[in-house]
Amino acid sequence: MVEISHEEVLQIASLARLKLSVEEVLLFQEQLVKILDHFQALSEVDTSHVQQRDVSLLSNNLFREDQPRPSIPVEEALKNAPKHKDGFFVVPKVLEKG
Amino acid sequence: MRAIIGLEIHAQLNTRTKLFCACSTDYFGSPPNAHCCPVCLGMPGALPVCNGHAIELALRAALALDCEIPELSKFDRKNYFYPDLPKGYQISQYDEPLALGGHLSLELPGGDIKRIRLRRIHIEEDAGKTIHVTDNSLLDLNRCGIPLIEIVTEPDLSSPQEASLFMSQLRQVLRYAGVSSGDMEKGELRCDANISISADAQLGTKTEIKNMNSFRAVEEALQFEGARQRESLASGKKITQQTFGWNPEKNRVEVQRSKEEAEDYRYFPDPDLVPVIINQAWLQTLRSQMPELPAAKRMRWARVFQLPAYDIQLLTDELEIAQYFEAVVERFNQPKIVSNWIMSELLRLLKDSSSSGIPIAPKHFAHVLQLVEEGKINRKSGKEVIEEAFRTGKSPEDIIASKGHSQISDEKTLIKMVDQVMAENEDVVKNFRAGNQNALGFLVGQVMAKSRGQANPKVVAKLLQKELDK
Repeated sequence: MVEISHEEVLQIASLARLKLSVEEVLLFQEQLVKILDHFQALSEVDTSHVQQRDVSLLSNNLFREDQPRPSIPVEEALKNAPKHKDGFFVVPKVLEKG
Repeated sequence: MRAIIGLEIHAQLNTRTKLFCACSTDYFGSPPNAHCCPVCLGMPGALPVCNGHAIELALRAALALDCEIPELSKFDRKNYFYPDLPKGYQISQYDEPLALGGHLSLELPGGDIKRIRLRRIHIEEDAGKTIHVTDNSLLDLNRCGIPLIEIVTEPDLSSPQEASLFMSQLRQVLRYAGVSSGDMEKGELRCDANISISADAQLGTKTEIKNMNSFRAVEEALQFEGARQRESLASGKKITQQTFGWNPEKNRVEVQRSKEEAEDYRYFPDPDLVPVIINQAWLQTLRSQMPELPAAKRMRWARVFQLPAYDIQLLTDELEIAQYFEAVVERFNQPKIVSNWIMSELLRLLKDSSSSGIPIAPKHFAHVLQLVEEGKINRKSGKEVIEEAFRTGKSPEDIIASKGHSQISDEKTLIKMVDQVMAENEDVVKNFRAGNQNALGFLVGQVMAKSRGQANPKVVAKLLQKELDK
């Protein structure tokens, strides 16, 4: 069985910017262990002889026409944001990205 | 010690909609976040569908640059945590890009050709724009999901000048092929570079410079970084692998981060998107639709129009001007005259003009040249007519009719002026008859002045000669 610590749950939560109660930490700890166990079971299957893609499914491309459709209203776009101002999403200050 | 430079160029594809959703790409000047939808905002459950036209444009770039195009290409997720990508990953291509290899034949200033090899071309979506304010960062996601191609060169460039030249010739090819408008002020063409300095054939440690968004920035940033590396090496210091950003205001590179390895991005195939299949029939169709590219056009012009290299260079620089030249020559088949008038008149007017596009139709331009050629108007009037047609959009015929630019070739009208001038300049007339041929030029000038430039100088000279010989 995969081990996952209390601290690791809190670390993942902080990366996802989630605030968890003590009960939630226990709940997700249990669920994460189950998920990881499940994937461990999957990874035990020998897939070395299996092709990554079923080429027969790939005879047609799935494309969209280059035709614009209306975007959603700005208010709608901003609705779920914890903070917004003058039409912008406001996020905690971030360093210049590389 | 020579510089070894490789470039990564991002070019925005000329599509109407984003890469994976139907939001319009025409966001310039729009309010922030007005061109967004659940897909480009990264809402849970929203599914991307690939824009087929974006793939076609990327394939045109691959064909124009002689790349190898695999039959299958797939999209991968490049994971990184930064708010300009609301999904938490960028959809890009990792190990199965759209195109591999290829090259651009770089035309060097002396006329030599240097083959710059390409490593690959892949398709990816652009990120949003982050504005840093005092306490927070502001996000505008209009640009998020705009289709880009990234063109990666081999480290075949050996000076900052070559790098900047490459960038401009690549832009020209992309514009000719209709792949990208390459408007650098709008960020439609952006460049990152790797540079190392080496005393021998060995590759030195390279550094990366990001965010060079003009030809000048490419040249200046690489010059700065090359000099910095040379100095370090000369004083016995080691170069460390790191990433810089070019700051055009301060004219220097600034450290952004130490090198991230590719593994950090945890690339994996995007399960929401099926791979792209490119069959020969599709490629054949695209190949047949490819327009003439800049290098081929320059060779043909030299052969067919016999123009000097300077003219060809100048006139093929922008596709719009090249096509204009061809349209004028089609109606007025004297290439060198057309070239002169476009270079001296049209390019000057365009330089001072704020609007885009050429307001005078090629057939009107050709018509003016025809009138000058036939002597119906003089050169000076021709220039004035072109300028007015350029400014007002009126036809040359209307302008000439309203302004009286027409040249006077009618002998009955001109003979009166000739007689008048001869009467007013008896001494000069005597002088001429005494054998001074130069006097003729003076008298022609007097008639021209009297007609306010409208007299046909050839007819005037003929009439004067006749009168003086009497």
